[in-house]
Amino acid sequence: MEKVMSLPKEVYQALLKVVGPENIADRPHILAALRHTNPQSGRQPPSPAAVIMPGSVEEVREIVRICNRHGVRYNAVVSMFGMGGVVSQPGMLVISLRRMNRIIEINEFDRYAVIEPAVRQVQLKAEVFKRGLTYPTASAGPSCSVLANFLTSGDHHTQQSSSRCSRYLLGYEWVTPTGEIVRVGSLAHGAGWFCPDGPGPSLRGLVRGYGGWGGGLGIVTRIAIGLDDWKGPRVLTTQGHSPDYKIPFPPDCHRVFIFKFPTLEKVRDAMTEMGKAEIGQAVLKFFYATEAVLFTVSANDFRDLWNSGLYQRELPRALWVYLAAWTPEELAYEERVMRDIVEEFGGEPVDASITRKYEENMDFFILVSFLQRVLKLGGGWSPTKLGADSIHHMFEVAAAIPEFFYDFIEKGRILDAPHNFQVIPMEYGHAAHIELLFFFDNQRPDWQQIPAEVMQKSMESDIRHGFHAATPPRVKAVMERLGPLYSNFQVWTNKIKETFDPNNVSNPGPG
Amino acid sequence: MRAAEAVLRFREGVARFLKADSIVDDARTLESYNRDISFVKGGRARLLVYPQNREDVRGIVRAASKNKVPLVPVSSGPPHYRGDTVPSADAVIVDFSRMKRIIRIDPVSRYAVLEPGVTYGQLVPELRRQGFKLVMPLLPRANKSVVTSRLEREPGLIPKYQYDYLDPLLTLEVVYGTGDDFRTGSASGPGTPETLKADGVNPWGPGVLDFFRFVSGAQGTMGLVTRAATKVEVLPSLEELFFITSGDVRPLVEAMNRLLRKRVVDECLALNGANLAAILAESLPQDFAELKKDLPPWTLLVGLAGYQRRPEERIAIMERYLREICGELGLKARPSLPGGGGREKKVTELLSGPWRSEPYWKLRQKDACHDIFFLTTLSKVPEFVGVMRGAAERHGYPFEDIGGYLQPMVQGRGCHVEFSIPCGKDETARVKDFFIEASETLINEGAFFSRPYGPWADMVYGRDGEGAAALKKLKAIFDPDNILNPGRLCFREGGRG
Repeated sequence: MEKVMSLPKEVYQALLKVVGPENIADRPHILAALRHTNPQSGRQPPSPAAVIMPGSVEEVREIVRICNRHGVRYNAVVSMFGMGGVVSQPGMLVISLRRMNRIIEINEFDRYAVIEPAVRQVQLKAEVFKRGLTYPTASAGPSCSVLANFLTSGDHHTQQSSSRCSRYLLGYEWVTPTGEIVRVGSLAHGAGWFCPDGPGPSLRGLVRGYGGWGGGLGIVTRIAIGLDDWKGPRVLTTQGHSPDYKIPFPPDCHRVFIFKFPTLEKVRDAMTEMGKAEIGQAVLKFFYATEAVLFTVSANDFRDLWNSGLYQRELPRALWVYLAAWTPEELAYEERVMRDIVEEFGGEPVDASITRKYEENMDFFILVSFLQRVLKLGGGWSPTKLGADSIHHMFEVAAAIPEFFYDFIEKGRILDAPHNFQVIPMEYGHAAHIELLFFFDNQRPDWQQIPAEVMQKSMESDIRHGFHAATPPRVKAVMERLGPLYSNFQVWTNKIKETFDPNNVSNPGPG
Repeated sequence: MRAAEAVLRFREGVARFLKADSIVDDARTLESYNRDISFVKGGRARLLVYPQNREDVRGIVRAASKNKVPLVPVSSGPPHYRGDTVPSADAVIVDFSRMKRIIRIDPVSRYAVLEPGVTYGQLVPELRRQGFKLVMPLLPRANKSVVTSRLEREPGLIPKYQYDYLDPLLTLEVVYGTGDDFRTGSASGPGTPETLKADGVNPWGPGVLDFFRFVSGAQGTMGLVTRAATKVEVLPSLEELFFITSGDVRPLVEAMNRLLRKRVVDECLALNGANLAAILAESLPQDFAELKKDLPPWTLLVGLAGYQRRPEERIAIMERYLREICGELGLKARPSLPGGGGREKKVTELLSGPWRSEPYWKLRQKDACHDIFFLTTLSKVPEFVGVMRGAAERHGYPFEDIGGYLQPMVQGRGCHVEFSIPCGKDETARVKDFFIEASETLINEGAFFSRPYGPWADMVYGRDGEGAAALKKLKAIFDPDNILNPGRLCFREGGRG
């Protein structure tokens, strides 16, 4: 059993004074819950020294200042859904923001919501739906923090008609790594929560780029996000009970189509044309094996479906289209344009049984409330690629996947699903996101090496071809090795980290 | 080292790689850079250099860093309005007007890659020829740099295409004050620009930072951009422009909000009578005066568009939505402009390109024009129009003579509000007082001056000490010798502030 490092008594007492005894703990059985093994990697994460639960930005600031005074490293968490573990090094302080779970404001006219870190997708989504509004919802499941997805991840299924979550970040309140409270953009000027950029150069660039810091540059205690008008029902009507439930939308204004094409190039071109025509609430080339996992309720069901060969036959070169409109007339117009495009590129409908699953579960496109089903196989799964550029470039990247992927398949190390990647256009096709998911058997003796090896081969393929399908993760050794290939971004990233976190206390990373 | 001596050594340094005609010290030419139409006064241009490529820019920055010579970047042609190109101390002007290549227009992924000297007058017709349009600010000068306009977050006429305040700017190639060059987003790599296959349309990153945001709104203080990618849009095959008029700005704001949240309209902006008359008048002063008298106090201009597929069907649906929304608000959307004397076609033409005639439309009434502009939410626009009216009354300036322009941004989540104050030579002092007091009042009332030019910088950063401190830390990283347009924004006392 790992020896748990403790905080010095005077530090613990100082922290206790900030939040009270009911909101801090260092007892072993509580800390044990914060070092659960990650199912994707099997890695035993290091143990924190204590966990503290502030209730306000002022308390967060005081905690951070104490950490700086005593050289205590910390990481702020909410959902603990991240793959890197709750802390990156032993002996760190976990700052759990779960008490900060208020929806501060929903402004219906100017279309923004102000939220604290622990507001969950399922909590905010229901509130904004009631008001005829919605927001880009990362495909991370209903229990995840909205704020974390705006700051760290944030790709989602309907970004054809919107964008990545990060585009919708309108303002934030930030406790810097050294404990100053900075309010960014219009918020700092008493002008409200609507613009994160300015005055002058935008500090918005500090808190996230393509990805987020994962707690490495202070703590964001409040954000505003942009809202869009919602074309669907204000209350979702559920039929049945989980896991066999259905959520259909009114069919006169909401329809789902899945078309198969003769080649990936045709999928790409149809996707591009739908962007130019500005149609489709969601347009994507989705993961076919992941879909099979999502839409079955047990591992046996999945095996039956997968072994039937239906998905391998119908979906490797398919395009998913979800049309949503204000009126039936508009829906009919979009459907006509879509059919023109599909016909032009040789598409035809897939087996109706596949499309029916989406028609019955249209919540897929807005919340993926059954995302946790991906874990039900009992095996491992992991993503790679996770980058963005043009639709054209993303399909160029996809075409090269077999170069490194078949080696793992042929050796039986991963599920035989070479087309299990998704390409999701954003902003009506001005860019697109790619992600490659793979499943593996965690009963194999070498299973813990599989994700890292696939990711490495994927990155090597990108570098060899000059593909921008990911940037090196915030792991110091990897950044130092690969950063020079990416415009030396690690130099500037490190300078910013050192400048804003001179004591290197804000989740310094695994080193 | 004295400034003159430093510039001399700088000149010796850059003479090793710049062509002779790219180094200018002619007094009359330099003099033209020492002032603009704004109230900003400063130092002197000591030398003018014209880089031709990224390597020139790197060399110029390194020579400036070595000799501690301030550099002031200029990309657009004159006249300048905001004081950001007026040297705050003795400086070298870096004029990018000779870096004017349109490097690429990609018809599939809908973007263009430009050097900083590419102007609206150059790019718009080229795009149109290839079936694309550029989301533009309102009637920019034909000699205005597209890249600078994007970097400075100028509002575009089509809010539905804008997903955040930097959109449609994509990726950048930039030379920092250290002389290092850098590429942002998916232009960063892997590899060199020559080996990279990505299109460079993902603006985010690389990694955990949005590097392109640090250079935006920076007035050249964070880095010199040598190349930028911007989105371009499909040129509609069918367009219709509608005019919605009102004596009060409130119903128009409500209409903009409803139209944008349903994504009904392409172009969406409101102009008051003074601005619309300045734009449409055939001759001055008679035609202008008559137009101003006849035009409604406020006019909302909205464009409907059909693209390459079934354009008539799209326009018919959107027109129905438009009429429904206007009907709900007691407004009328007309294809004709009341009081406009049949100049609807001219409006359509003007909105599709830059201003090409002389003088610039803002200078048609008087010698100068001073703009006050800021951001707010649509809900607060009427309140700020009232604040500006109050300030005008206090200073005895006729409010109806002030140009008014409302430009929703980011799909209507924000709104750029701009008041243009024409100013004759004999009234500079009076207008300056008005300008300063109105700006301060608006800031006090919660107007967000997100691009604080000239005197606004002190007003804005004086209220945001923590934000200014964070910006100074960034400046010290990217421009440690404080050579890039020093004295602007909150960077008064050197990079480390």
